[in-house]
Amino acid sequence: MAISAPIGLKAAFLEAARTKSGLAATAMLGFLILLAVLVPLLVPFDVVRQWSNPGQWSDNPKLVPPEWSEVFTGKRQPRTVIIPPAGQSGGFDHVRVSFEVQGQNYTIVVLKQSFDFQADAFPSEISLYMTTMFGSKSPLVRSWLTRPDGQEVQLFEDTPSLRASNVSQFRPADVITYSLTYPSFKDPSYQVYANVKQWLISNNVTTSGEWGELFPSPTGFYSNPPKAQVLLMAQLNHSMLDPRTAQVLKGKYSIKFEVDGFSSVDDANARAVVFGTVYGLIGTDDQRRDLLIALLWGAPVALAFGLAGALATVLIQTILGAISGWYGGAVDELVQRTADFYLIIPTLPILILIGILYRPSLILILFILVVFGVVGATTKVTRSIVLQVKEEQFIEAARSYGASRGRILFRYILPRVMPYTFALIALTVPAFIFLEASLSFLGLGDPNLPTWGQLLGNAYGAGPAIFYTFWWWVFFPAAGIIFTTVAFALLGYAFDKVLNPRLREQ
Amino acid sequence: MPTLDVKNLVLWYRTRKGPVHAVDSISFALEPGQTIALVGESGSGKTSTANAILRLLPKNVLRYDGEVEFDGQNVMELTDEEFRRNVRWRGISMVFQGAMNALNPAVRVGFQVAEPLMVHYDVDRDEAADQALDVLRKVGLPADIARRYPHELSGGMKQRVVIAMSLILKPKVVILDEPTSALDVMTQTNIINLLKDLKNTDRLSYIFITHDLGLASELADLVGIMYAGELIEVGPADGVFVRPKHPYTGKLLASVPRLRSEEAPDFIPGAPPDLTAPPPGCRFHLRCPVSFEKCGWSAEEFIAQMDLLQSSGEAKDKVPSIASMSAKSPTSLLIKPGANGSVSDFVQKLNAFVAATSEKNRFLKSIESVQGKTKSVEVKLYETTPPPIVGTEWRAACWLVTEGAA
Amino acid sequence: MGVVWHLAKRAIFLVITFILAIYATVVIANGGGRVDQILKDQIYTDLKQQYARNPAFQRLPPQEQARQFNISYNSIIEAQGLNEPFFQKSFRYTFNALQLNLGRATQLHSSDLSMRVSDIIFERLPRSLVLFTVANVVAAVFGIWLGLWMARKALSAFDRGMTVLSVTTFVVPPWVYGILFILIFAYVFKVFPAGGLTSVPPLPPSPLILAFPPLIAAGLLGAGYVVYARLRSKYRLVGFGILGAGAALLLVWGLVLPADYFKDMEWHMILPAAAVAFSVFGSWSYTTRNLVLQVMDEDFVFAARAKGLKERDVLSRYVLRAASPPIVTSLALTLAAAWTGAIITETVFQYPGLGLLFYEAISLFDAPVVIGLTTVYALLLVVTVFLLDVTYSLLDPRIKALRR
Ligand SMILES: Nc1ncnc2c1ncn2[C@@H]1O[C@H](COP(=O)(O)OP(=O)(O)OP(=O)(O)O)[C@@H](O)[C@H]1O
Ligand code: SF4
Ligand SMILES: [Mg+2]
Repeated sequence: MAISAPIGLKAAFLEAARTKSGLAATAMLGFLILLAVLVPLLVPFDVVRQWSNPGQWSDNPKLVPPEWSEVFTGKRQPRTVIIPPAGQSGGFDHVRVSFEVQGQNYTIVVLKQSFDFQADAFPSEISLYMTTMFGSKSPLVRSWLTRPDGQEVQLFEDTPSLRASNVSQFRPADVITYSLTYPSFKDPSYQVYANVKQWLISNNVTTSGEWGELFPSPTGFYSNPPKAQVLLMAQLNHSMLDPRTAQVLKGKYSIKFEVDGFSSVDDANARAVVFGTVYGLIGTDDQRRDLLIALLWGAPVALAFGLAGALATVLIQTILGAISGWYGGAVDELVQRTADFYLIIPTLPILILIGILYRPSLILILFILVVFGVVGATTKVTRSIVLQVKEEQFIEAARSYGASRGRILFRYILPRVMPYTFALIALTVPAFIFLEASLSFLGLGDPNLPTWGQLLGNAYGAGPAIFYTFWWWVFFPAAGIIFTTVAFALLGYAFDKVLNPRLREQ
Repeated sequence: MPTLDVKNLVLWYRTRKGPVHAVDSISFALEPGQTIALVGESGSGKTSTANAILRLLPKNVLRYDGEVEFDGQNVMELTDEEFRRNVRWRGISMVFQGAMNALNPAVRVGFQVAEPLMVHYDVDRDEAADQALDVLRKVGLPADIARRYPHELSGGMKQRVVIAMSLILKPKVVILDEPTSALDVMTQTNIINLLKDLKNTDRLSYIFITHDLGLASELADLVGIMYAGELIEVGPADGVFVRPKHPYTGKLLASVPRLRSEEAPDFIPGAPPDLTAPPPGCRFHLRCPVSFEKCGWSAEEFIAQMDLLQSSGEAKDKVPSIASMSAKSPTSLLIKPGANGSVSDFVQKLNAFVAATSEKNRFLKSIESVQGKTKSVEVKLYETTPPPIVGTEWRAACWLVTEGAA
Repeated sequence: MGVVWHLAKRAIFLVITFILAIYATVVIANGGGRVDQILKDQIYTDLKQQYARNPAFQRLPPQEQARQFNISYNSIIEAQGLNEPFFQKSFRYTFNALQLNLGRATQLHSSDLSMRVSDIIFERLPRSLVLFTVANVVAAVFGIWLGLWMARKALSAFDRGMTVLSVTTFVVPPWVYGILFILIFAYVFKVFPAGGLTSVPPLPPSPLILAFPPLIAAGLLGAGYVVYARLRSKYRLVGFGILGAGAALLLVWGLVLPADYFKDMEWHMILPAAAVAFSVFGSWSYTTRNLVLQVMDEDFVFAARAKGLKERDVLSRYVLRAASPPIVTSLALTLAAAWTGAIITETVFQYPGLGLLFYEAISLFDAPVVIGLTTVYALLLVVTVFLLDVTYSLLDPRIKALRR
């Protein structure tokens, strides 16, 4: 950088903001800053803290694209439908009858609710959750789906027992609570396949032989299980056997649970989630997390990290460079040799090493990066500018009236260097954002905060195939990083243009 | 036939503030062996004129035209490539202002001096080096200098190298842009003597650009005085230096400090005008000690001067009090008389004031008429055009000269 | 002479820096002894499990069990040198590393199952060298060319557009482009493979053959250009000769290679190379443009034009020549940065070069490999910086004047 017309920091800012690239940068940064301020208000930090807690996200569909992506497919994609437990609005209708026959108590509980399904595509999953309380004897639990065409398909039948592994027990007065999570029809051990198979055969849609060919399960496990949610919700004909040709049966479906209990205390409640195939503004990841939250929170984190890092390193480097250029001699030699030393130390490998050994928090990462950046390119640039400024008249003048060297440095030289420093800060911010992203990408970032780099890393860690098929998982965080860094690059460029008049239009 | 005949040369630059009229319609002619000294304040367009002659244009050229006849041919009609091949350095070479920087720091000076031979005449390297040595010797440099790099030479040596470089192709015209300004007096004299010798032996024509009138008078046959992008006076050196026609030239000569003289050197008040908006009429009129009716005050300048006068304490009581002034057109303005002065009163006072002080406040001379309106006074100024440059051998652009000639 | 003395001083200094850098790496790579503890713990649990499965051992009385356990534990610890205090060991490690005596890996091995760190590294080094050299040279050539073009058309719409493009592309590191390129070209359009070195398994006899001819060729091409550009007619022919030799070497190398294997490999190299080149060319074009514009403003360039040189010659002899030392500086420094930046880029592409090796080694706490690699990185950096100094003093006779 050649120094030319001296220009104040404020003037440089104003002039930089007037160039086209400066204007673009200001607009982009303004947007980011607004976002950074609003995000904590819109999405409280508490929500982000739950990022690594899988229980928090179980009602979201897994790995689905954003809602608006349906314009590409041209099909109306289903949204997630949640049928809440009885007692909540829109929840299951709950009917419980207790009676006594021959000294034996019986209780029948029926839970029923319907939902309207008008999408052009099948849901991605269906989950049923049910809690049963019973006395000393296990009740019979059954569930059915009633389709718009009047067909009723039994989903499962179960007798919860204390021995089952998915029984959680607590005993307030001899009542046993049984939770059945019926999350995924993909689980080949579930009876739903048998039930569906039976239903289809009895409706002459398929034969036992064909079913066996389509969905071989020689060991009792399906290697390529049928998609139960497709079979259950497709128009009843042969095309339904292939998810590519199956046609959605639109209309009103209803889910029913029945509990036949053998005591007067039996009761049950249920919840159902029919998972959509799209979600929110930017979709979900493999742990069903709403990527929007992480994407939004990425902005303040990246901004804060990038700015803090760039400010700290560039200011330190500037001061060291100025001191080195101004005092010369042994000080200069020391700073210059340190700069060479830092140049030779392979920083990134060492950073990764530290990341693996200590899993540092974001603040610690920042600190380490600053330590590795106390000397560098800026030191050299500043030094050369100072060497030029040193020769100028006004410095001579200041010296001649007896100003101390330190005073001249801080009162006269540093202000001259400041505009350059700011340009360099703007150009250094991207480096910091990407350093954090690199570490996060390798899984070495702060585990408690989602950052853009971490999203990319998660996507990458989920396996290459997943990574690239599910574009939204990769695209948006990458776009976020690029947007932010480009904004700073443009700002730095605008500054550069103002400070190097040769480079700008006359 | 003149070696170089420049007619109405124009070079304007484009800048953010507007067009810079760096060279505005300049004409002069140079016979073989003649030297013209271009003299003028800093920023008056001397270097720009030289660059325009050599067609060395920056990127932000706005307007470039006129005629440059070299050896009877109008070189403005040549294509860039023809111009480069036939005129540059071969016909006209140049010693740049700040010649020290005109040397490539990474190349040995011998090669730099020889390079034009290789470029223009396809002379092979060794032959070119030999010739370069000759020329270097001619300008008084030892032979071993050729193998050195520029940073190994002193300022005066570099200056000589650059002069050698400009002579290597034996051009007819050499433009010397302040060739001695950074040198001590002894070296200066040496170089001027060298240039004089070359002029006599090789019948070289110089365009000698300088601030230094003393040097100019040493070397020049002709003198051209530049002011604000215009050549305002051009004529034989012995004439112009002795009895300048243009008031600016007069001032310029008077401003040169003389050794052992009792007289304090005169100075020219004010600063050279902004070339993005040159003053109308004669560009010198704001600073001219003898400006008069025709010299081209505009209403706005008039108002500015009047304001200045009012605020200067000395004239306060004499200046008629004014509430406000506004320009109506470039040559007329309205004045509202100040505090309870009637219009007719004001007209009287103003006329009296003009009569009394117009010799000192020359802008007042530009008033053609003063008319009382209902609430204000309309002042009409003389309409003028820039003074044409008149004369044959010795020309000057000043209304006084024109009038005198008429 | 001045230049020689200057270079000698630099060399001594760089060697000292190198030693210090290696020592720092040794300390950090071992986590200041932390890695030793991790390894010791591993050995401990492994041994425990081993004995737990041994019925004969189980039958022994507890004291005897403890005694035997300690004996075998200590012998393993001693064999691996884990009993020495770290402070002492760090000097031994450093000394070994400096002799390029890199020791044995604890976990990783080369494709022919050698566990010597140098074997592992030298198997991978050529791949990285080729990939990053090619990518950076392509980016540099294209960037310089573009920068010159931009400077020539300074302030035009083309220049402004390209400047903004350059400035905005070079702040983004290659691995981010890598991700996007894989997404676009490997999965959406399916033109290039997503990663890996080859899709066919066999390896050529010695991977070194891969790297050296093109490197030598690149060196020849570079040297040829420098000689050619020194603009004396005598040397021009020599320059042409060297250029020709470089080109011929490349050609022969291309013909001799087992075609399918290398075609496949090149095919796999295109995306990573493109990602690297894309993130690097902008700094070239931007730097070149600015430096060239700056130099074009110098009086001596103006003078060259006045002397009647052709615009092309002004550009190549005066402008480029004066601008080249700073351009070379940034070339060397970006190359150096590219080396360490390779870690993530290679990981993204699963390209089995040094970068991926580094990642694997770190994940497995394979300290000897980490130290070896860092040594190699530091060595590459030192060599780069020194070459930079040499080039600088060759290109710029003012070097003495410039350096205090
Ligand atoms: N490339 C350019 N772009 C815009 N304005 C320019 C350019 N070159 C020169 N000028 C302006 O044109 C005017 C004339 O400049 P020029 O260099 O010709 O003056 P000069 O008489 O040689 O001055 P000096 O004696 O200081 O060398 C000045 O106002 C200068 O600022
Ligand atoms: S024309 Fe003559 S008298 Fe009038 S201002 Fe110009 S120089 Fe002075
Ligand atoms: Mg000049």
